[in-house]
Amino acid sequence: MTEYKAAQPEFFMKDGKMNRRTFIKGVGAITVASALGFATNPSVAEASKGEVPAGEGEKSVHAVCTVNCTSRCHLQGTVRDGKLIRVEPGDMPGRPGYANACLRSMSYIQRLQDENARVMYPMKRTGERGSGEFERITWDEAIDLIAEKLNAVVEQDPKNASFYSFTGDLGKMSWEAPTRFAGCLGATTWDIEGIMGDHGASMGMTMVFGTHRGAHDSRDYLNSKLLICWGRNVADTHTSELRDYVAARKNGAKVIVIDPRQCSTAAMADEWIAINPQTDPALALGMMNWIIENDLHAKDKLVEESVAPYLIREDNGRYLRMVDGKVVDSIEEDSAEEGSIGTAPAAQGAAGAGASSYVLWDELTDGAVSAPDAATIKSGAVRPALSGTFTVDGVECRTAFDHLVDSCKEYTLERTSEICGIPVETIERLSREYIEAQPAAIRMGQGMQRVYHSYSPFRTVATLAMVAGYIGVPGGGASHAGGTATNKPVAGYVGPVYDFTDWSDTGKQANLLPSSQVYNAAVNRDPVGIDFMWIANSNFINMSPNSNYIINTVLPAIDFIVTVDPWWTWTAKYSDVVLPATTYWEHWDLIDRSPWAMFNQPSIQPMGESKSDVEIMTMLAKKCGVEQYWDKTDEEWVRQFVGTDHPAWDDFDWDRDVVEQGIYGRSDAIYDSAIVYADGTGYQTDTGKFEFYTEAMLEFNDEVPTWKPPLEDPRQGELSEKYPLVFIQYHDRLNVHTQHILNPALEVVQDEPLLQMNPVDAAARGLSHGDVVHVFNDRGDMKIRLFVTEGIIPGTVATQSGWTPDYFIEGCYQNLSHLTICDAEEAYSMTNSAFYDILVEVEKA
Amino acid sequence: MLEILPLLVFTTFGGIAAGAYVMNAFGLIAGSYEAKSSSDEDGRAWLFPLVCIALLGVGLVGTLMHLGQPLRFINGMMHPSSMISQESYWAIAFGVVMVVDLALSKVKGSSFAAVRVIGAIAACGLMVVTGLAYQACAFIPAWSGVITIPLFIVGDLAVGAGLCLVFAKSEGLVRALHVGNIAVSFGWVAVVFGYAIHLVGIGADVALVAAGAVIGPVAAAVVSALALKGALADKPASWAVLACSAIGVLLVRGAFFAIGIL
Amino acid sequence: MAETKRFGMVIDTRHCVGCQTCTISCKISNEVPGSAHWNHMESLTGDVLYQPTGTFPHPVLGFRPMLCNHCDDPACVRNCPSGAMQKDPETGIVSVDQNVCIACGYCDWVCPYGAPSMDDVNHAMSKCNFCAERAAKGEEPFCVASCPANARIFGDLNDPESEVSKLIHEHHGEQYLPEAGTSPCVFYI
Repeated sequence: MTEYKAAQPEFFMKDGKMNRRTFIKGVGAITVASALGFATNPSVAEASKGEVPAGEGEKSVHAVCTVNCTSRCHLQGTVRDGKLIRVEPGDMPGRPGYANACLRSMSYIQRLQDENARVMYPMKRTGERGSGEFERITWDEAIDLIAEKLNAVVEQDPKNASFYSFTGDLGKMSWEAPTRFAGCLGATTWDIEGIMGDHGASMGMTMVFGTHRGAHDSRDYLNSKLLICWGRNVADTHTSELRDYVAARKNGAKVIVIDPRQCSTAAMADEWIAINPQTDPALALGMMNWIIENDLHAKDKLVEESVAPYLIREDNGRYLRMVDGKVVDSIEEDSAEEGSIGTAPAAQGAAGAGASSYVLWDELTDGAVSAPDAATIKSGAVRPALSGTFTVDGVECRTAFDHLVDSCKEYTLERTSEICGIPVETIERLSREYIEAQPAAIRMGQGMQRVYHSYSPFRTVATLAMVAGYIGVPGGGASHAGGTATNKPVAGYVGPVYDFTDWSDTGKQANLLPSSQVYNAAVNRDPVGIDFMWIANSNFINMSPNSNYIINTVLPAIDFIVTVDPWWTWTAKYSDVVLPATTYWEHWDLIDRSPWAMFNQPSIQPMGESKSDVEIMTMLAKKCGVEQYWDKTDEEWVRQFVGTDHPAWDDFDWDRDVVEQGIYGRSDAIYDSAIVYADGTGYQTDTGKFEFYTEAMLEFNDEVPTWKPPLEDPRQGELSEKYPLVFIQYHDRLNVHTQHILNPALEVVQDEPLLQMNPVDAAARGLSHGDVVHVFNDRGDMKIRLFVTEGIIPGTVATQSGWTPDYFIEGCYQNLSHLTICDAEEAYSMTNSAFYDILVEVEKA
Repeated sequence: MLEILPLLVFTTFGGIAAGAYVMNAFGLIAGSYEAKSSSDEDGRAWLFPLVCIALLGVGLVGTLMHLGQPLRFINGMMHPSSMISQESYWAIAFGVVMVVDLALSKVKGSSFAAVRVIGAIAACGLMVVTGLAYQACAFIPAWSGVITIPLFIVGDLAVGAGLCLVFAKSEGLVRALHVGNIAVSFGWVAVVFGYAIHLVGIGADVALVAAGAVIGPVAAAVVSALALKGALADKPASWAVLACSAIGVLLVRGAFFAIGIL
Repeated sequence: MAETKRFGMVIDTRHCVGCQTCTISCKISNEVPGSAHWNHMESLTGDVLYQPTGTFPHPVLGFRPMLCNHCDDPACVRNCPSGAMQKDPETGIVSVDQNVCIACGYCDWVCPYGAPSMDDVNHAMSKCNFCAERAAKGEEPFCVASCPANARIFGDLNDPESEVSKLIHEHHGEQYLPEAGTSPCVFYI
């Protein structure tokens, strides 16, 4: 990340101090701070300005929201008589305009303090799996029973015991405790991104940038003339960023939303461009084609910062590599590290490890040269040829750019229009507006990558941004995940900020497998068997593809299932033992989101007999012979994590920053807005450049960005005749996953799942708004109420993700989906669930 | 449905009493006063005000049922600019006159025409203010039309005519009231038709209102016409008119409240 | 700043995304009882919330967040039979005294904005009071502080220098349903 001093939104304070949004500028802040009696301690007074003092008998408490929208909002709660009664946006040191609490987090306190919604005690199944019949047992009985089963499996082969921890609570300790336990035993754990459908983005990003994530600070959009939300409904799914988008629009930026649905973000945008699901790469290719054909592409940027001028061998399609001026077939250190998948960057080589062995054609010397870094090219020392065929050492080569141009050529405006369902004029205007904006930003979203060949969307859209010259440019970028400020390097200090030494020490190593293989493992014992399964932080059945298959085939193949969850989920009902977990308001935890450290702590008494994941693992450890790795209380772990002498903690005070404020703005933090890849630096690809030519994809004919039709293609084939509608499940304002369904207060917003359908499709089926409809394919079905809207592209229907079967008239949306292994993805790292690559038909119920 | 029940009870029962006082005064003027005082009252002149007081009383119970805080009903008279307060004033005035009427009738053995006329005036005030109170809800389309005012007044008169008929004995008075009922029914049909047009204008369903018109004024007018021709006996005819009118008004008002706030 | 305040709000419908964080924030933070709601959301241009108007591919999706308009001449106050509904002359805030209210519901019927909401727990009318206690301390109402789009701005309409006054002036803020004649203090851009 490179710090970039950009224009700031009006609510940003450059001094890094808190500034609560008062409507009387500068008055309320002082009054409130002194009312708190903190005036003698300047740092506290600053940090606490914003907080409304708690009322009589009330106590201010803090938490960081750890559900997987990735906003990581700091929450300020109010407790009265031991109950959480209120949640408000918590202050963000250094970035007051970023304080946020969404409707989900506010109403969550109703559900989490409802003993009927919570798992209150350890429970043992008494009826059939799925019957919901359980009896209460003691913690000791539960742990003994689990240990007996687990130890028996471990004795045979620890790999046949699985610990499956997902994103229900992304606090460091909650999230990692089960996988850490797997490490202690040498048991199996699952790399989550594939099955949950987020991995396409990571693969696409890794191909071109070399890292999973990378985003401009959303404040940087004040520098943008155009801001495209591409498959990203930021208003509902990354709410904390929205104010910056609004500020950018007020600042004159045009905002365009590209989405099959007119999502909430489209309500504040200047334009909604409706696109057929699964076709985003085609649109990006069409735009690239128009830009290149009109000779508007960023030639300098491409030759300086991307692999565009790199020579590709005509004989085998591989990059031309030279050592000591001689062409070689391969480079030893080239190969990607085995097994580094998923949460660890996918197939990520050391940044630029073999960079100097790549070759480009220098027009100054009219010869092949070892590819220099961006700075050298910018200095004019070499002038790489962007295009052309050259023979080097007898090997015929063309530039990577020419390969890209070839791939784009197919995507004329007409063909792009046909694929994407967007009028030719709109694509042409979009291409022109994008290239003429100077600069234009793209915020990419996972919405476009829940498809087969899921790496393609992010990779292709990012390549469009590079072709337009917007990567590494203020106000530009092709961003993935929230961008925030960063931390400055501290001269002379090399130690870690956090002390995770003990936490990382598990004695053995977990057997990390791609989650795309979890069904296969259970059913076919390949690559491991699953005789014991520990499910934590996950409503596995509800949020994984093909719930009917899970229930009828996957789970029956698993001998013993333990689910640890705060909620009586669908998954819990299919488990043999259900253990009550605490929520983020009830236990200690840490989120290290630069530039802040945010803390969870027990703000209320845990409901019933619920315990934190760490507490539960600590109990189990004693029965599994690994208690030496679980020798601390939750609070002791957190204290150890932050107990380093790194200068980041110079101003840190436990009582003030953890207990009273719940958030610490690091001393080494940079609170200004930051962008990525400025000056062509920071790429962690093997070439050290923006790498749109992916050698690893050669065997799948996918080395440069292309568009491939979906697996279940609505355009042609038998399936499309039977099931002509594309079905997508989207995340909306009511839910992240299943944990917010249905917080009582949210009923006023929406009280049942709805199927969105364009009036054209409704009329063709004789359906009306409000009808109960039957949605089905070969895998499953659901009955659901119809919501007819002009805000969805014809040919596509959509349901909000996260609703549990209880709220459907019949069935559930998740039994329509599928997990189909994609060879190209599996070869690169792992298959991404194609949740939006589904065909269905809809009829009146 | 439960929310509108108190409103229906209040406006209908109170409305019957009010409509009956007006129609009674009409009867006094149109029919033969002498005949009435001797034969009609039969020494039980106090019965008419007593029944009307009871009806208004039931209406007030309906009002109290509607209030979330019935014990604070006295607070509801604190603000003269509120239509609700004004409704209370008129209802109290009407009630007081009826009590006076009851007392005098009991003492004297026959009614005072002047008191009945004063009662009718108070009743008119109550009907008008009730209509105005609903019509003032400018953002409840089913209520905000001008037609709301006659909808309450004429509806009350229609039921009132039925009640008066039940009390009437002398031929002159019965005839006068039947003629009056036919006239009121014509007016009531016109008003209901007008209201139906208003409902169509706001895209609401008119089925219930149409049913009310047929069962109410149309049927009541036919009964009166048959009675005048001598085709029906007096007693059953009078009760039939009352029943038809009451059901008709309940249906129309049920629709009025349901479309308005349900 | 003028001595007598006239608190008001500007709602920027151009940036409202219909998330209803305002609705929920108000409900939770004010501990609004039972089924009562002091904020609600309507479609800006149509009848059905979340259904855009116009036709594909250019439908218009817009929202009108609703709350008490704290009118200069409030229909609820004028029509309240008990006097429970009052407008504070010092701040312009319209509020209901639940200890006086008879819960007849008439204020809800006459309000053009559907602002009064029956509190079915305490059996008395309840409504938005612009978070009066917060306002007195210079704090924004909960709905404003929580709006993730900064679409709500709160302030003193009597102060020409306040942000609300400036926004209304610059962006021609409009009252909703001015024909009701209540002179509302909430303006929409």
